[in-house]
Amino acid sequence: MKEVKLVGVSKYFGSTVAVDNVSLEVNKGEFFTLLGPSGCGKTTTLRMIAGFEKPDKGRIYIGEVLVNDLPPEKRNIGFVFQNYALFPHMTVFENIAFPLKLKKYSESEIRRRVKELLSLVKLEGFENRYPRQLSGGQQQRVALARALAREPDVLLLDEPLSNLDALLRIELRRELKNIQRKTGVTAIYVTHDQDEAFSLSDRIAVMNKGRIEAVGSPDSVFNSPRTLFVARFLRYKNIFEVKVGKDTVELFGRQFPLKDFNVEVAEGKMYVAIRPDTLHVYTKPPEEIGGDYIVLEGKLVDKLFYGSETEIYVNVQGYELITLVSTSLANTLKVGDNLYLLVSKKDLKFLTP
Amino acid sequence: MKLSDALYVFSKIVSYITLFAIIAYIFLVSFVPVIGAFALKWEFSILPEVWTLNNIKFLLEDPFVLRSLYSSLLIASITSVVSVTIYLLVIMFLFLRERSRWVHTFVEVSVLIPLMLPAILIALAIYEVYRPTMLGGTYWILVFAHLTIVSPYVFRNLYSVARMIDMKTLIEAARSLGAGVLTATYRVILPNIYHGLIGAMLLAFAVSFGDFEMANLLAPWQYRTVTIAIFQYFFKNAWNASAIILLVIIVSVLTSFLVAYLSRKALARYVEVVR
Repeated sequence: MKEVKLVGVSKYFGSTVAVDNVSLEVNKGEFFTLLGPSGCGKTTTLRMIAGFEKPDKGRIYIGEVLVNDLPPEKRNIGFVFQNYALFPHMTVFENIAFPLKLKKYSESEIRRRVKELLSLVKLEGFENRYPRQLSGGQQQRVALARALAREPDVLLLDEPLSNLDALLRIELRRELKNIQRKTGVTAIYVTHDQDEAFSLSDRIAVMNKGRIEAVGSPDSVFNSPRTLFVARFLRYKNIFEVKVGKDTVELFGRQFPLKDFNVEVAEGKMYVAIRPDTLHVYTKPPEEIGGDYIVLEGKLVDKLFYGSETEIYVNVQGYELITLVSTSLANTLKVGDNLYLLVSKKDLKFLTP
Repeated sequence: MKLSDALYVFSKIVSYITLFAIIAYIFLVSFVPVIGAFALKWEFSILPEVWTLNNIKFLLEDPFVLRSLYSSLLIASITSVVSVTIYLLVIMFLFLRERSRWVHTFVEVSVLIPLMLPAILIALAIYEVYRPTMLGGTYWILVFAHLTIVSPYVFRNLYSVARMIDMKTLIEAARSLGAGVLTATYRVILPNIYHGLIGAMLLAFAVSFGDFEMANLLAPWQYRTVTIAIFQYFFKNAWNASAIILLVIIVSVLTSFLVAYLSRKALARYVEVVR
């Protein structure tokens, strides 16, 4: 296993900037995810690391080696494709043996290694089947075993679970994480699915328009978005434009001192995001709240039932805030009721546009 | 029996009769020369009135016929191998390197042009282009002409199989596993487009082998093809010409089997993996 480093990497397709000056470091044995919507440049970045695309600017290192001019076959990578890319004319055994045969392993060694890999992906007994005789999940396991066969320095995975149904995706997600832990291989994973990214990764980079907007642990990326794009992409529902003055900020028609929020923000237009689960609902004004909290008074305007929880919409000074309450509490509320929303100041995330 | 049932039975009978008539006609047209190859006299009867093996004997003894057969085989073989190689490279370029949809469409339309033009026009154009060069007067001028007319068949055949297998991803998968582009092509791409490849080769062979218009205008004297031989003998002795056609049919069938067998054998070497 080796670390991967990208320094100021850019890629253009005609006049379109696919990847724009991306720099990042992936540590040895780390599970790193490039997360973003389609067209954000995550797959192009992965393909440049693999050697399928050549960067127009910047440097890519695998370990200590600058790989910009190395063809994919010389990079010792494993690549798992979205559509599996198994060789249709070869059996499961032959698919997994393919890279070992190229490395001129002995017959007995190939047999031993393939058996080991099939056991790793829980597909013992499937050696003689052809890809067309396997389900999508089984095909992707074979693809994973094949990619791991030559003991790659880096395992690159391009939305490997997106062609599978929801239940299988969750099952394979866990297995993928276990396999990566067992093998200790450095893994770079591309996905547009934030649940997948958060559950699998040690660190995440959120990409937008070819640039990296946030990098960090799943917890820090999720809980501390810095830009409007990241907050929206991570499904923060309550996002409002705010005016930041020299020392104060205007929120829901009230002025608050900036120092209360313990953030460094520039004067001018900004955005504030509040996660629905950080808003606490009261039917009467809460008492003894302390200086770390804000109370917002509003009227209930709508309710959406989601089983054990209900989403409620509260109008506060013309701003519509969404929050989640238990359905049993929601059943006691009527549209038009006066409600009080309690939110901690640290749960207000200031975002740059 | 109800009227609708009667109509149904009647329409079925008519369908079968029509189908039988079409098949009988195809067989008749194909087999007249075959039977004619053994005819000495055949004028007003269903089968020849007098049978003979002299036409076959003539075949084996006439140097012009054997020479023309050799020329046709040579030119058709070169045409099929060269055209398939060229278009395989073109298709690999299109699928591996070229993203632009416009370029794909342009190439697709361009290679179809020979289908829209009369063969005589292409022959004249080739003649005018290559006559002053060192190719003028050699059989290569005919190979070039045939490369033009076979291009729609070869390209379409290869293009459709290449689209079916997602050539780009398979090559990338093979390369990520340590195979160079050539190894990836031999071991992964060729076995998967095998049928398209053989189909394209056979089509190219058949079109080149059966061409008369271009051969008549472009083939040098020493390389007159078997279709020219058939044409010339047809006016001297129709049953001799039938014998040549019989020979052509046998050679075509044998060639088809041989090409399929050899290609399968050649490719089997590259896909062999330790079990």
